[in-house]
Amino acid sequence: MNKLVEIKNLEISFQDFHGAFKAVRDVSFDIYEGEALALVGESGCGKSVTAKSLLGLIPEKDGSIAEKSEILYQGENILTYSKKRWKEYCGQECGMIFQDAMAALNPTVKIGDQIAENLRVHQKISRKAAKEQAIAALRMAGIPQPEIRAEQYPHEFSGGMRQRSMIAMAMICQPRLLIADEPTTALDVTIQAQIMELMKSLKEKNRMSLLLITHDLGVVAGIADRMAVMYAGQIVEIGNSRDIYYRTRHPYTYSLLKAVPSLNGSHGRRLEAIDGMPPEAGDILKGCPFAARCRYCMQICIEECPPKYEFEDGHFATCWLHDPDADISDCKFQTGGNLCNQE
Amino acid sequence: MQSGMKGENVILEVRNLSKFFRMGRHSVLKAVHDVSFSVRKGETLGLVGESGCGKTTCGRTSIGLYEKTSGSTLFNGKEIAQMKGKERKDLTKRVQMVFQDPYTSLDPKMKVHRLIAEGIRIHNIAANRNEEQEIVLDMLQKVGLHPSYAYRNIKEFSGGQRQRIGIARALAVQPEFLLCDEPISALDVSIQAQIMNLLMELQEKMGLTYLFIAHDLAVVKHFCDRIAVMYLGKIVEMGGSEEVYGHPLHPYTKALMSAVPIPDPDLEMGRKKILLSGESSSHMGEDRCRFADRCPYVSNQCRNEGPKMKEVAPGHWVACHQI
Repeated sequence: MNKLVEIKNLEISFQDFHGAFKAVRDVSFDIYEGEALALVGESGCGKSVTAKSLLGLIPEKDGSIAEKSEILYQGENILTYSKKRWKEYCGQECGMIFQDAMAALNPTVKIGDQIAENLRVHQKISRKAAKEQAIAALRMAGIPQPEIRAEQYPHEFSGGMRQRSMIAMAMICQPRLLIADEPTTALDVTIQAQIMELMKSLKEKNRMSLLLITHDLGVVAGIADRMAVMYAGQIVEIGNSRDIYYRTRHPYTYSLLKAVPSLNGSHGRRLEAIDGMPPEAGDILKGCPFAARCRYCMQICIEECPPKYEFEDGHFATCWLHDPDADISDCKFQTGGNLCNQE
Repeated sequence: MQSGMKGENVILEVRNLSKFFRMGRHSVLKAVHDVSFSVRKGETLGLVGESGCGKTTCGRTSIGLYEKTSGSTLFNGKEIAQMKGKERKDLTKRVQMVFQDPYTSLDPKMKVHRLIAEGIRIHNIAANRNEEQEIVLDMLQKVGLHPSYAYRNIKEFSGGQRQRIGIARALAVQPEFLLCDEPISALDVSIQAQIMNLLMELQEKMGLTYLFIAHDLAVVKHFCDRIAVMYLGKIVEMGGSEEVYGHPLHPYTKALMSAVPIPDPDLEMGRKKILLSGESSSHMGEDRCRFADRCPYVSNQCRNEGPKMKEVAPGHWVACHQI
C-alpha cells in the first residue's frame, strides 16, 4: 500500500499565560491509502490537535507547529502550501467530521446549501447542479426524503441526522482522506452503530483513507485496520489493530484495555483501574510520560525517554520494558493473547 | 403488577409510576409512563436507556425529587408523597444522590470540607465541630482522597477527584440508598474504572443500595445485579443482569446489546449487528407500543394496544406482544 500522508516529528505547542506548552511532542506516523487508522487516547492527550494540524486548523495566534515538523501529503509538505493550494486541499482532498455537529453546522443556512457550498468552492458547477448533488449526497448518507431535508435548517434535524449531514458534506467532493474527530461520541449507541456502519461502507466504496479519533476502544475494534495510542502528546504504541488488541506491548494500552468493562466480560469483576491522573498539558516531562502511573515502572523510566521498539511488522511501542536489559519476569502484558477473555 | 418481586427486604417499591410534563397548553410529555419496579436492600438496580428515554426523570421521581403524576413510590413500605415534616427530612438523610456532572453539581465557592459537612450539619449528625471534622476526614479517606484536601477549593480538583468528593458528600449522612445518575459518563476511561471500583467497594463496606442510571450497557452489566431497560418512558425489559444480557427477549434490548461495540477486533468485525432504522420518536404518542415504529417484528396489535409486562422466567419481565 502507498503512503497517502506521512507525519514526521510533529510538534505543536500552545501559548497561555504560563508560557508555552507542548500539546503534541514529536509524533510521527503514516496514513496509507484506503486504510482506517484510529488515534486513541484520553481527553487532553493531543489526538484532536494532531488531526487538526492535518487541515491547518491550529490557530495561528497562540498555537505553533515546530519548524522541524513535516506533514507530507502525497510527498508534498502541506505546511509549506500556498494559500491557493490550501484551498484546493481542504475540503476537496481532505474532509473532516466534527464531534459536535450542531456547533459545526451553520444554524442560519439550509442544510442543502451548506453541503452545496463545499462543491461550489471547489468545482465549477452551477447552483442548481450543486444542489442536486447535495441531495444525492444526503441520500447516500442515509437521510430519508433528502429533497425536503435539504431545505431545512440544522435545528430541525436530530443528532444522528446532523452527523449524517456532516458526513454528506465531508464526502461530497470525494476526498482521499477523511478525518473523523469523535464522530459518534455525542450519539446514542443505536445511532452510533448506524453511523459507524455508514462510514465503513463509504470508506470501502470510495477507497478513501480514514483517520478516526476516538477514546472508545470498542468503536476502534469495529473499523480500524491500524491504530495509534496516544498519551500525554506522544504516541506510545502503534501498529495493526489486531496486533495491539491481542499482543499489547505498552503498559498503558494494556491498562486501558483492561479498564473498560465489556459486554462479554463477567459481572462484578473488579476493573483494573489505572491509578492517578494523566499529566497536565503544561507539565514538564522527563522520561516516560506514563511512568508515574505505570505498574512496571523502573528507575530508567523516570530518567530517560524510552526509544521505539519494533515487534511485528509495523508494530512499535515506546517502553523501556522491551530493552534487552530490562527485568521482565513479572510483566503480564508481554504474553499478549486475547485480553477480553482474560480474567 | 409484579407480584413476584415483593419481599421483606424491598427498600424501594415503585408501582405504576407516571410523570407527565405539560408542554404548552395542549400537549403533555409522558416522560415516565406506568413504570413499576422494586429495589431490594443491598442490591444494585441498573436503569438503562438512550438519552431522552426518561431514565433520569424516573429515578428522580421515584425518590420524591419530582412530584409524581400518578402511581405510588414506597420507601421501606411508606409512601414518599405522604411523608411530611420530620419524616420527609429523615428521608433526605436516608436517600442521597450522586450526580452526573461533577463540574456543575458542586458549589465552586465552597471548600471541600464545607461541601461534605453541609449534610452533616443539616441533619445534626455531629455533636460538635470536632466530630464533624472527624467525619469529613474519614469520608475523604473512604473515597480515596487525602485528608489534607479538605481545606482546598473545588476548582483545584480534576473530574475524577470531584466525583469522589460528590460521593463523599452523599455518603457523609450515612444513607441507605444512593441514586447514582450517570456517575461516570463525564469521566475519562481510566478514571471511570477507578470510580466504579470505589462505588463497588463502598457498597460492600457500608451495605448500600444503588439505583444506578446509565446509558453504557457494558458498565451496567459489570456493575448491576438487576437491570431495567427503558424506552420512551416505559420499562420494556427487566430482570437479573446475567439473564437479561444472556437472553435478551425484547427486540429493543436485543438491538441495544448488539449496537454496543466490543473492544475485540475479531469479535467486533465478525459480528452481525441489528441496525435499527430511524431514531426514537417523541413521548407524546398514544397508548401503543412505543417501539413499534422501529421494531423489525411489528404487527398490527403493536400499533393498537400497549403491551403489558409479562414474567417469562422467574424475575425476568418483558413488555412485548411478540413474546
